[in-house]
Amino acid sequence: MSPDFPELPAAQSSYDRPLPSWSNGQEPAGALVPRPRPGAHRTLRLLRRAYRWHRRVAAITALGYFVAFLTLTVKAPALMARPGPGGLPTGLLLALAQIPVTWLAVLVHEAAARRFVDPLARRARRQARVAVPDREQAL
Amino acid sequence: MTGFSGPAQSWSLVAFCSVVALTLLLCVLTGPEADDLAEFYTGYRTLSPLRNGLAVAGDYISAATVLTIGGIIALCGYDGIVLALSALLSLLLLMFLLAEPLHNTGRYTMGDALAHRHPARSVRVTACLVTLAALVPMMVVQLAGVGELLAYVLGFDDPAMKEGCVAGAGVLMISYAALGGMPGTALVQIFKTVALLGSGLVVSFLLLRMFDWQPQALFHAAARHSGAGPAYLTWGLQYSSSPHPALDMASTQCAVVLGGACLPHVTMRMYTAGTPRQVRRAMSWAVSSVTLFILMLTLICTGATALVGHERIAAADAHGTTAYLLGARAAFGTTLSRPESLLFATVTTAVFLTLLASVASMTLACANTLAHDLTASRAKPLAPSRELGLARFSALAVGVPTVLLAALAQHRSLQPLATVSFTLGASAIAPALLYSLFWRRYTRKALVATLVVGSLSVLALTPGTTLVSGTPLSAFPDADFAWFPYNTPALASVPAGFLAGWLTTVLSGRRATERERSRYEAHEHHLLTGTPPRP
Repeated sequence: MSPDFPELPAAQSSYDRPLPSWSNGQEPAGALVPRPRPGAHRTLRLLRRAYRWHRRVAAITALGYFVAFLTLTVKAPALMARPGPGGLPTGLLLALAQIPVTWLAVLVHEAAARRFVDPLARRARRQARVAVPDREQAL
Repeated sequence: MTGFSGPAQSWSLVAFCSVVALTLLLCVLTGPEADDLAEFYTGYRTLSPLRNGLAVAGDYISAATVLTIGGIIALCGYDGIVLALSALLSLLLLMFLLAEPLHNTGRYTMGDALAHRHPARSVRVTACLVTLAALVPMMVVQLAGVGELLAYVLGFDDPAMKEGCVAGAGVLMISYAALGGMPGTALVQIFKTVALLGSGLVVSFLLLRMFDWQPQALFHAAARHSGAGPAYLTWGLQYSSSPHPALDMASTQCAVVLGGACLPHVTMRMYTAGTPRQVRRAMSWAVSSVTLFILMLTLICTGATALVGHERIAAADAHGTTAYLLGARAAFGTTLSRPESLLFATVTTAVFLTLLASVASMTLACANTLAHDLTASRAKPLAPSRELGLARFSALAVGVPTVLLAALAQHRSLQPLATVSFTLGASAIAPALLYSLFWRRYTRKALVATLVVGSLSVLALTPGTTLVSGTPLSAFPDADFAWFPYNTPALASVPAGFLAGWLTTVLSGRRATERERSRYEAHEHHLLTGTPPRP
């Protein structure tokens, strides 16, 4: 048993190890006690962080573009009046570009939320559902 | 007087009447049961994301957007386009920042969302008052617009007839709100969004075909006929008479970006979706359709200047509010065949429906807050059937004075009233929602202070702005009592609202803020995951 023991992944070790560890006594208790329940707090912390990043990046990007655009409009009118492609002023083109960019932003936002936020939210909700009946039974 | 010929007018009249009959019927059919409170307030959260999104878009595209921003685009070009974009950004920020937390914490009204952390009577009463103060001016603007629009499209000029139109529209909006509740108004909004987007697409298509599918030709033609030349396509035409053009523009944009989407009739649609994910979906649809609409609004109103010319737009209305209709009419060419008359009638009907539907939603938001926020903190809550009756009665109680005000005010420039709404949203509602959803240490006193200081500073500063008096386009052009030399009070009132909340929290001491922090943590799971509270 001992030669293949170190190659086992950590997650599987608890299934494979019970027999020899009974004789040792101490080790499994040390491995189990620190995580008596699924990490509801940890999930919530991760979810909070994911939401915060998601919100901050999205809002700062959208607001930042618009503020930069307004600043350029007011502070650099000569640049914004310079004719761009099609003979229209650069400022007008930058303004009209915001319309396709908005569509893109919505798509990116939804994809990012589905990738980074939703799995955590689902896990947190599941853990809450498990935790609540426990408490009710205890009362 | 309008240049709209006979068949266009009669088709419009027929279309108006049938739309009114149809929407009223739909409203009654989808309306809630007599004692079903949740259905009246939210429609059981069963609306699909697409339909909910179209309803949000319908709520957001109010007549103020179509007519006022359209007029500014037609008369001032670039500045109007930037204003339309900031309105779009506002909805995008609502989606990014507030939509999901609002859905998770709120139940029926904005008062619910605020009272989730601070369940107190003072919070609910203040929220109710701020809702009324922000929405009633907007309703007056829209209702007065109905009178003007009908007079313009149907070609009569009698003031008594206009007042009759306002009263008729008022009765309609009260019935939409009182009979249909949330499901009924959602249906009217969906109907309106589809009509507006569909007719706008047809008109944009015709306009672009007229300019050989070259948008730049459209913009150059507009610049030639705008009376301003190349200045039409660059910054500053709208603020040319102002002593501080840059600050004026900054404060207007700030009011629209922060305030536009925070108004309670828009945020109340966040509570009608089922799950946080559906809210996001619905908002994606809403932002996409509003984006499409902004694009079409830009094309049609620039097209109005290109085809009709600055003088005729300004002659029809000094603020250019009829530019959208003039542009649509011009896109059809000089003479109208019968199918073209019918198509043009759909454009006028879509605008008419926009006016009616947005007033109905605002009435509903006011009625909900009066019935729900004022009674929710009672020791013994009202029976559902009584609260529903109260909500219906509140729709009437808000509606009747609004109709009277609109009939009185419709001959004046109503831009100050629309500005009051947006600025109240930006200086009282936006800081209160942002702080109470995201700031752990925010106290109850600070919440009330934000709402009160933000609203009072708006109400105190607005009479002194140049929109009310002092310039030829003001509401009182003959008088000059402007002492605040800007277009909107946002420059002072938005910082006042945010500062009031921050200062009150910081000054309320460590113990109070620590208590708030632990209370926030208790609510955090709900705020983040949106697990519905078990009754």
